[in-house]
Amino acid sequence: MKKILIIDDEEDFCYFVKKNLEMTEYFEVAVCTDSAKAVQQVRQIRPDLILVDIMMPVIDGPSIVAELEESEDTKNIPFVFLTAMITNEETKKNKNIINDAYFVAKPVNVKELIYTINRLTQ
Amino acid sequence: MSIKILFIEDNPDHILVTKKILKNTKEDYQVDSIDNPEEGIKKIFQQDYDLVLCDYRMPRLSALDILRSIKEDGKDLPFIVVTAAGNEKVAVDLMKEGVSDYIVKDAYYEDILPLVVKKSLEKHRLKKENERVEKELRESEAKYSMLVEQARDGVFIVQDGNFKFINKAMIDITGYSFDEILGMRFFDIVAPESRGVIGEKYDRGMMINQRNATFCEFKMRCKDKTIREVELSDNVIQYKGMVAEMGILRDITERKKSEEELRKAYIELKEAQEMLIQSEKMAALGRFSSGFAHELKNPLGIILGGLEFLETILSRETNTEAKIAIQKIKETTLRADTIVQDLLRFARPSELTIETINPNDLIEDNLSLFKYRIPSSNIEIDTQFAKEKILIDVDKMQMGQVIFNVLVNTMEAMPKGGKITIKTYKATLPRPLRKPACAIEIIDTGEGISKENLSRIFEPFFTTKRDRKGTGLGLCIAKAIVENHKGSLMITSELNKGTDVKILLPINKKTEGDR
Repeated sequence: MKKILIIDDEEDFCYFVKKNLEMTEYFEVAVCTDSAKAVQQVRQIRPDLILVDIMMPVIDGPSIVAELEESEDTKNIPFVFLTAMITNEETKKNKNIINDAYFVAKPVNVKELIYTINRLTQ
Repeated sequence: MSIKILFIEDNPDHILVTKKILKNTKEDYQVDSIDNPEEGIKKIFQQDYDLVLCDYRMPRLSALDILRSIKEDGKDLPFIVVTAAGNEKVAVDLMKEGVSDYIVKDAYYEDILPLVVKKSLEKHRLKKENERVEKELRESEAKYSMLVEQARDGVFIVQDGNFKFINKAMIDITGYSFDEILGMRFFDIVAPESRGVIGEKYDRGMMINQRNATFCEFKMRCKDKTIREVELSDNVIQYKGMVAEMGILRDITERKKSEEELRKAYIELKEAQEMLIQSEKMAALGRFSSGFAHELKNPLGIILGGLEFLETILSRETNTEAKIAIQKIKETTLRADTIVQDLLRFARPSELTIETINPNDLIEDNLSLFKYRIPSSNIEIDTQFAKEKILIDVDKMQMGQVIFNVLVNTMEAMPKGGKITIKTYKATLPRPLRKPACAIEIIDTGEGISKENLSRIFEPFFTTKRDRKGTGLGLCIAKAIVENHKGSLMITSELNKGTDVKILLPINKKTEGDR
């Protein structure tokens, strides 16, 4: 079972992503809806992969990622941005990679998300 | 002022009598007398006499000799001859020679003299007055004739449709010679397209019985067949005792030309203004759409997440009705998401990644993709590519999207099949740029677009394909992309005939001059 952490201020969104991933029985999903506590939670849970929203109150997604990458113990944890700022078409065109970072566009297609998670956690 | 009379007479008695008679009248006559005819002639020229009385028989010179002599030297004044015997023949001869009157020295002399003097003076006064009026008339005529001849407007008189009089300007304006015009009819200088206007004017009788000048504009045909715009003002006059029209013709070709230029400039300005308003509207909509789309995406994401979850749960059940319901909700939610995606794309025309390409290659690439989408084989595609090499600077991805979008539209416009013609050729960008451009024209034989719909075709969210999942943003985005490339996209269409989409894109600067 792979441990996944979702960081997104939208609670209901997290709820369904968690449900959809856990139904496959390959993933164990934790949710963080308070971006201020995200880094702390990463250290506690030590996930195999992080799904992180970009636009969030207090601290945005890229800032959380930057902080994780600065730290030895967290810098190797792979992450995927879940965002409404880009479209499905754009992510498909670039095979989910834009400027070396992985993206999955909202609304999330579960198959695409699982495929991307698998690519990063092989 | 007294009236000065000279009496040429050698009979002193008669002088006395005559002086007395004239003194007794109400008039203020001052009578001088002289008995020498030569001296008399001298006196006439030296002094300012108003009238001469002269005895018929004088020594050496007769009264007629004296009259001729003063007339020859240019003196014109009433000249009355006094004769002893009444003789008809003498009287006639005298009058023929220009004598004002004559009096017989008989019993009535006393009564008649004052009357004859008065009458002669009055006659002379009238004659002088007449001469003065005639002279003034002649001067006035000369003045008007000079005005007419020097005028830059053509002046003419037409009688029974024929030219009877023209000034010099008519020759300059029409190019015909003086004699040529005078042998022509007025209609001969009216261009065929204006004959209706002029004819109507005549028919309505406006040329006749009018008090005021009438004005009209018409096209005139000159001798060299060029057409000039002229303004005619005409009036009814009497010419040689008959009704005629006098017209003034002004060449307003240059004025018309500048008016037309002004009008064009105004329309251009209007168009530019409308384009500006339109692009302002689009920009505002863009800003609004961006925020709006993001706000919608989150709830849509949650709904879809929930639906996928329900779908998986239900896949283990056998309740097909619930499955169908979920499927329908999911499809609808995805459609909403497509609208939002289109909005985002419209709101944020991403930065262009410019490449220099051949438009034909771009079309070929998109056609090969498009062919998979064609549902039936009854759509024929005809490509007529420019033989010469044309290069354009475009974002391949975005311009491909434009072409693909137009191609899909043509297909949807031809549910029963038809023909798509795709042409590329060199053209010119519309005003105000007017730069060399590459035209990509996509023509279908489909159902066409009505006038009402055509005028709204680029409005965001305007669609006639709501039932076929159209968002009403496709063409709006296509136009935005083309304009972002400094090009233009135009659509013309006719119902049941087909639609013609023309995309003009600036040609790559380095190859602009290539032929």
